[in-house]
Amino acid sequence: MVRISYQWLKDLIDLPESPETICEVLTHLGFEVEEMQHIPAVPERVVAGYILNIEPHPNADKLKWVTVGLDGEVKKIVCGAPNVALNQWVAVALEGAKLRDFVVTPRTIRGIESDAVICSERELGRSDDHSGIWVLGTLDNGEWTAGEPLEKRIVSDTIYSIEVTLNRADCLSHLGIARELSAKFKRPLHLLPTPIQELNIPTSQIISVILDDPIGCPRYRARVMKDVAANLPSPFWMRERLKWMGTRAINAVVDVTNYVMFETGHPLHAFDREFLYGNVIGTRKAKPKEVFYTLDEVERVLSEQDVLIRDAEKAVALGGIMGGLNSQIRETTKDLLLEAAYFDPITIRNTSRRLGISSESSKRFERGADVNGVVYALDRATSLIQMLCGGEVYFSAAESYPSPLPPRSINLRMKRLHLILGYESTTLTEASDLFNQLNCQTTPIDGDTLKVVVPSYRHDLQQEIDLIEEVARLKGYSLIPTQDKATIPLTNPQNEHWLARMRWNEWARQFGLTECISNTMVDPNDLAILEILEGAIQIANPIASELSAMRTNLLVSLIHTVNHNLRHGRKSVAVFEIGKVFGKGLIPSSSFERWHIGIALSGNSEAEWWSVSKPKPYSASDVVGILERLFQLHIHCEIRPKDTFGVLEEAFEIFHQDALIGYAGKLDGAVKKEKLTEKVRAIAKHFDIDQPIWIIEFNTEPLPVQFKIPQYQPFSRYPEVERDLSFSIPEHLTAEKIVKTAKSAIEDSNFSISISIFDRHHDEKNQRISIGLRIKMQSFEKTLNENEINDVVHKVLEKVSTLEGVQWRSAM
Amino acid sequence: MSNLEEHIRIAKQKFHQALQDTAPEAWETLKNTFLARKGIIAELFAMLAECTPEEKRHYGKTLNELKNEITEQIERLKSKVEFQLRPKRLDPTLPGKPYPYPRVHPLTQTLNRIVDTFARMGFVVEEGPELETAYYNFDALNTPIWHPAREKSDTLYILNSTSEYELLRTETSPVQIHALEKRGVPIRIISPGRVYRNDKPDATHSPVFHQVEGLCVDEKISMADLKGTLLGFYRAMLGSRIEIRFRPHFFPFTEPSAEVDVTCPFCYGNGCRICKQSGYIEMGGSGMVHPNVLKGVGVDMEKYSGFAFGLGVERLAMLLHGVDDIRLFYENDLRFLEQFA
Ligand SMILES: [Zn+2]
Repeated sequence: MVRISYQWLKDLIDLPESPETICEVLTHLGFEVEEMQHIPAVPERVVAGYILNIEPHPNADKLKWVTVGLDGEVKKIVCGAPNVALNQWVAVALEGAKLRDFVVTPRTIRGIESDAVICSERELGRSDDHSGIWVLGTLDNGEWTAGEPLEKRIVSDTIYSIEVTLNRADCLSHLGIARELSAKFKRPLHLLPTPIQELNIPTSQIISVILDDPIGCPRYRARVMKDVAANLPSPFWMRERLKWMGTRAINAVVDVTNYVMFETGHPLHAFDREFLYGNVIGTRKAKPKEVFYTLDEVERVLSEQDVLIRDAEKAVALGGIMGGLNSQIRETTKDLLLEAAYFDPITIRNTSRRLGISSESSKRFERGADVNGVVYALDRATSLIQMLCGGEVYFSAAESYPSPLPPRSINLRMKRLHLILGYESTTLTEASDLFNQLNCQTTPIDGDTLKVVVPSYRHDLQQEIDLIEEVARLKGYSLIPTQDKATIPLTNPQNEHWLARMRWNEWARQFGLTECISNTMVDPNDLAILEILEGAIQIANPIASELSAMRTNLLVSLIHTVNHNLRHGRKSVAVFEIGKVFGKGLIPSSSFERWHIGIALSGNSEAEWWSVSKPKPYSASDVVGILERLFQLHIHCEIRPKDTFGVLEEAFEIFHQDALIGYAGKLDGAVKKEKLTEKVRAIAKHFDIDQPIWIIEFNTEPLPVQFKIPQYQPFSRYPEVERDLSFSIPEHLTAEKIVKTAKSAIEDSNFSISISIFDRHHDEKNQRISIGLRIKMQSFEKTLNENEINDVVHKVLEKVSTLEGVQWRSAM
Repeated sequence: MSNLEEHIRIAKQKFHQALQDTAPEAWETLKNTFLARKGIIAELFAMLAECTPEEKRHYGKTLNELKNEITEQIERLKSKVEFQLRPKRLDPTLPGKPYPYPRVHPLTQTLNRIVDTFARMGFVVEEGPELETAYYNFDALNTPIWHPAREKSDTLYILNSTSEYELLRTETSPVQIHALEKRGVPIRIISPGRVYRNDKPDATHSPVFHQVEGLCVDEKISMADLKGTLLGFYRAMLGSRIEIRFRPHFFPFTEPSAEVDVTCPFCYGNGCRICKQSGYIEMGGSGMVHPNVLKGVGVDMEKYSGFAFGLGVERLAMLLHGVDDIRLFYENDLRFLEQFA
């Protein structure tokens, strides 16, 4: 983000366009203007005045009665500002001046007449600052004339906050933005002149530059000045501009270095020469663990990768990042050394990262400054300092630049340009002109190729494609046409994993479940209590400790989803999630990232409705019923009951081709918590669960993704006969055992026979279960006769009756 | 026989009295008294026999009228009683049976619309891991080593990382590299998926969100193809009046790069609250695949060129459904989810 003043740009280029137009142009050059702040001119009838006298207001403690000197007259004004002081230059609004919120008229304030206002910035509409009056300067510098109208000197401006993309460090300044506008508008830049009164003693006789680290700092240039009045404040216009750049004014010398940086983009540094020893300035690498105090009074522990600026004896600045406490400009500074250097981006980046310092200077050097920009920046600063603070300047500059960085030259082929941009209207001559506008030297190599030598500040122009972007950008992206013909044959089938997941989504919805999507980053404490933390992938720099582990199972997400909704008034929740889980988890897998499906059921399986007085709660039957429907996707899983699975009770294991792929079961949270085991109670307490949650979760990765197209099976056209048998069985016998036994009786039958359970009643008192078997039979060849039917029924009856403790009750 | 008239009058009076005194359920008693073979009306008809032919005609008519009236009244009573006695019909104003009503998550719905739209343009889905390496997430995408996206303040890194995973991918762009390595060129894919950023959650930021990345590489692919593809896509998603606008930008893996704006689908460019009066809505980044990216995966960058683009699924879903807080997508509140039928 860089702040750019519209008026400042106008110093560098003619801009007849309005601030709004410039905003639009910048946007389409790739500089997004995030904010535009309009600062109005000072209104008419507001004049400069100075404070002559301050008396207390006779009738009010907090008010003062201030005498202000204007053009040949004095005015007595009632003023409440805390910062009003003698000898200040202030903005005085006379009768009739239209301020932001009111027009000045004579008023009587607590018994004293007052017909003018000493303005705050807010009253003038220039900022929201109303902490006190706006101080324009002090009487000892003659910047203002008493009574002069301010509207001529304090004009309106617009401050843009511009998002400069990372590759365009060259645009972190007014000059940089002006260069872009110059290329866009094909309008010349006005580099401001740098008049300097020089002595005839060359700077190189005064000081020598010695570079011991020419990689960290390839170029160092310095000027030396003496008898400078460094204690002067900088003038109003400079302080005002620095304020809009977000920098506090300090003294004229420091302010100039900042000002020139905001103008040219090149960071500068000024040293008090009194504290430089040995007429030497230069660089060296820091020693390991060397300690250096930067001017923000912080002790910095350095490493060998850092560049230090040093004199004959000691380090005086952390190169390209921050000056040293030992040589900064003070009120008494008379002799100056002004540095303009170019630092290696990687070196500065490493140092600033490691030390955690991000300064206006480091920000520019680490993204790439202009190695050739040092000359102008140094002269501009020297000229401004001499103008503001006087002083004598030695002839020219002292410099070391042992191995000049070679200019980059790139070939641009017009054919390639046309191909990439999709339009062919750009000619070689036009491209050549366009690059000349960007300060590139161009030479046509042949009819199709242009050799482009890029300026030293354009670090982003590295290869042909970057030049192509420049053409597109300057001509405008709106010229790119829209091509809507496909160029690849459309033969690719859709990704089958994607399609499979869509099928899974449909499959889960048929049970009335709503889809959920949860954060995959979870609280490791949740995983720990669910006993699924082992092998979890954890984040080194989490956003919060509650988001520091990757979920190993959907279980944790499902519990939160159910809980959230139960806590917000739901009595029943039936949801599913298809999502990734990571690390080890409950279900063995060789991959550390895989897609699971999870289902959670809690509350009642029937919706609340006037016709249902006692809705059925979810039970193991819902879980089994859902899992049985996997056959719809032609997936044949085996569901093996188990007492517990992990922290779940009444559990099932889901097997596919003998591999465990999932589980189901109940996480209890009964109202009567004393019934729960210690473990389950701890979980119920941790998650604040007070009703059972049934969970199903399985890994979909081992399951087929290509779904079989169903194949037609012929069915019998003869009638189907149904016979029921009822047995009393002991409690330990399972339904599965009875059905299996019954089926074994009719294995060799020629008929198609199905056996199912149609009724079950548990007589707990007598510890018996009565169970009803339904036999359906059918022949492909004929209608079954009574003998054949009875034969089947009899076989089943006989076989089942052989099971110990089974009694036949009746045939129906 | 002039007293017949009097008899008829009395019978009529009697009936009306009886009608008032008799409970509706006793309608049969009324019928027996008045209409039975030996009932009051029959008796009166019998009396006609003694009349002159003229009187017969006159009183016969009056008697018939009375008989009809009585029959009608009794029938009315009867049907009233019968209706009340009939087995009751269900109150038709009662609410019906609440069948289960499953919903697809709005993000899945949006993702499906995106994928289906691109599928019609010949883009197929290609997916990649969420646990990534710095090589795929940054290096192979031409991200300079100093790029701030690599900072811990932007990217979530894995504790005890391995050569297989070092970080949570910050974009679905690494799938470009996996796909180019796996399928080579020409290629036309989209990669939807979850990405992670080191962002504190608030109304417009979620540390987890979804992106769809698109990639097309072939001979002679130009920026005009990119523009055409995105225009087609956004028109399919947001309506045929949508226009798109490219603005220059910088992304390490594309050059030239463009930020994609679409006409605000709420005001069609006139400016409204949703587009903050600009008439445009920023949808995501795009550009021509950087030659360094192609070179890195061994694609002949002279022969082939391509484009890539990315878009945020939550952003689009928020726009389509008027959702103003991104966190709603991950809270799984049924009061939210059930609105997206
Ligand atoms: Zn709008």
